[in-house]
Amino acid sequence: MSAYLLRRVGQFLVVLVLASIAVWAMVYALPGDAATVLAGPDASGPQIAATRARLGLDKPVVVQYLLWVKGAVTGHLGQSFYSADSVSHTLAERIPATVQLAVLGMLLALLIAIPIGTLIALRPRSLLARLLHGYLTAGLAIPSFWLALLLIITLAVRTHALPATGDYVNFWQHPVAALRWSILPAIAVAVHGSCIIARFLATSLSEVMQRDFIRTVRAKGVRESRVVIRHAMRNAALPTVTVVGIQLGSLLGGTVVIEALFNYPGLGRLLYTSIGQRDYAVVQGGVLFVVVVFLVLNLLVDLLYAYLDPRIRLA
Amino acid sequence: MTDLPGLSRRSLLVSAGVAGIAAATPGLAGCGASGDPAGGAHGDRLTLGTTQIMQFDPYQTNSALHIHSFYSYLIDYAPGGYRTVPAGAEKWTIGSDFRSVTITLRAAKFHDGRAISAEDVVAGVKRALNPKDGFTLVQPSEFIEKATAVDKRTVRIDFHYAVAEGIVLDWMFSFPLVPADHNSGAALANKPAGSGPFRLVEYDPNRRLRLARNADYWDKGKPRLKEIEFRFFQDDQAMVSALQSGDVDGAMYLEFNDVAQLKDQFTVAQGSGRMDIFFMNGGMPPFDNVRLRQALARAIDREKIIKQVRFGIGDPVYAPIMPGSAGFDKSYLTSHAFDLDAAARLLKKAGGERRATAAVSSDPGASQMMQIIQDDFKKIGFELTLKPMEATAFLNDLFAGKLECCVANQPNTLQSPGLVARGRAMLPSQDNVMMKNRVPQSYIDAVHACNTATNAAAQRDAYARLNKVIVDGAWAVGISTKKSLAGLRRQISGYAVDQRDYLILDNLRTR
Repeated sequence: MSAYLLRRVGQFLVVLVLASIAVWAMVYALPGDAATVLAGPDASGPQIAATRARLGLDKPVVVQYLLWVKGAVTGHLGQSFYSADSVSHTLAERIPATVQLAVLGMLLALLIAIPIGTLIALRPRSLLARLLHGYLTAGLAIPSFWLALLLIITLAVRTHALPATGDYVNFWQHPVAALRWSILPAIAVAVHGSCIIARFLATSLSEVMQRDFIRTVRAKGVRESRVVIRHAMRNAALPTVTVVGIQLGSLLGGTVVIEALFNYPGLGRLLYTSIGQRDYAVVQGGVLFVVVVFLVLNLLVDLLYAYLDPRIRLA
Repeated sequence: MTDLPGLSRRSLLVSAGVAGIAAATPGLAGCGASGDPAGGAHGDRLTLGTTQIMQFDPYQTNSALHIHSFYSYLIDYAPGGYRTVPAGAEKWTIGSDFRSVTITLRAAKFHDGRAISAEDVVAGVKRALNPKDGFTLVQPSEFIEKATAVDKRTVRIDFHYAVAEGIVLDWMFSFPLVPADHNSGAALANKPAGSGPFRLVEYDPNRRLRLARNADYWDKGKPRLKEIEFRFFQDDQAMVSALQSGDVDGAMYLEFNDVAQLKDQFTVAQGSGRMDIFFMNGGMPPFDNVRLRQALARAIDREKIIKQVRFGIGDPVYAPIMPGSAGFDKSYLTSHAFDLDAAARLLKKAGGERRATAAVSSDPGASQMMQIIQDDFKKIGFELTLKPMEATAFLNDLFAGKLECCVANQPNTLQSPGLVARGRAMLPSQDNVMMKNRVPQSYIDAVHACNTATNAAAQRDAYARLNKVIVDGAWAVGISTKKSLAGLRRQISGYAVDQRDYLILDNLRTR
């Protein structure tokens, strides 16, 4: 197990370095720079050049990258061109908002997906299962941004029931306000995720329920609820855990469109804004965070796999 | 086991869940729990939505709506015209030879409590004359030779040459009062240091800007509101939804297509805004042919663009001089009106290649505007290929002189038509990205004549010359004004935008 862990951590570091180079290269490949944006729409060429020099953007790209790497190794991810705040601080302000939204969205998705997936697997021909199939199809077909717009129009603009915009309020300090300002974006991200998870769970559980060991357990007179929860679910959970991991990874990476639509101050919106402003240091730091989150979640999912299925760690 | 009993049980559970959510929603809706981050007017507090605010240096912006909240300028213009209103300057006297102005400053204080002094103005002028740090004030200040503190509250500014009164007043209108020891791009990058009606309370670049009333503001009784919060939006539709749902009390810089859905419920206010100009790059083919440019200038249908792209909001312009300026000459809108037959005849005479690429920025409306122009150009036999570009890339290539042609904005020329040559890089006398080293000498001379015409007859002559030179040069063809739009709850009054498009918040109040 430890050799397996070491191997995965090694891969993790290589991917991290490659990702940092790739992100840097991609951001610099974009035409235009922060000086053009920062100098304002009425700036002249010399004014933009002066701003470029002030930001250090007149240095060669490789030099800028190496300076960034040097800072990153010592724990300094650089400084935002706009807020003059450290990137670490800027990210630290946004990450809790995204984590809160991601966790809330994932909890909602699981709350919807587990009962639906289980019901479809256990009662595939029931009327309710057919209706829920319709929900899954619609949920997968409807783009999240469109659902978000529907939620805004119906629950905010027309009825004024909830705010049209999202905002971050620490859940542990003000739980009701936190829910109020993040429930609509959470629903918008949860619906699509719930459909994917429910489909995987339904398929997987349905397959497991046909297996011989389930027949054996039933023959032994074990209660049906125990058969499902104790024996079938654990086996059906493997592919579902993978999907949940990937879903959570993308939610933690920032749901750019949803955050932009709801004006939610999370990591996705920060990245969206920073790319538009060519705030290289923030983009680099933010994307690296997303990469790390994905890699860590991947690692955790693999470890969870190994825990759930001993054959994996033995292989 | 039949389906029906199970179905009923589950249905019951589902119904209970739905009922729970339904019950919780009004609870969340009604909650005004502590920790609530956003707005709604509370008597003397307003929340306004806007696009992102980037910095607090008044030298670096011509149009950032929040700047006037923090800074006092030497003078203001009364809304809707050019009647001067004393502001940071209590009084001023322009020398009889038009080569100096002596300004007496108002007894007022900066936000840090220090009195405003003549030395602050001297330091400010010095920065405005520094090409590396003066930003948008460099070109408008080029007539200034030096500033001298006469006493604590009197400053004398000497000019290189005799300057038109309008130029001096426009400069005073654009000159912010900043403490000498804070007056640099670096010091003001993230923290304002002014004497305006509001002080900075909180700035979170991705979320909000909170301002509180400056109790020591020189204009007693103002501002009327205790606090104003700007909430930043990247997406116009998100901002409009926030206005409609009551999350914010007003939305600044709306897009034109928002007006139709907001005008029945909200007050839609119009600011003077900027101008949409069609630029042709005289430094590269095919636009290095002036007769071709003149031909194409006749094929721009301003009325159609205003009607279809700007939803009927805006005034046509021919030269890039704002209506309201003494130099605005509306006769060219008739003499050089949209006329495809005339354009085709002129194009035939002009010769040269009949195709070009037009860069289209991601500005709202830019694409539709260029499509109308493309369609009309095609009718006279000129093929325009449209190349959509992301905003930053567009600006980058525009300022590098790489674009063949495009539509871009030009700031307000205020009351002095000579200011057409300030600011953006497409119309200055030097370092002109559209004409490179082909800027007509007659244009340079006409701009100078406008800036130095000190009597009415000379001004009339200079303004007429400038209009003619710009129309004949035809590298910058005016289309229309592009008003700035704001949507406000009906209970809000006192909203005003000055000629630079700065938001004036002094009088803002709720009923």
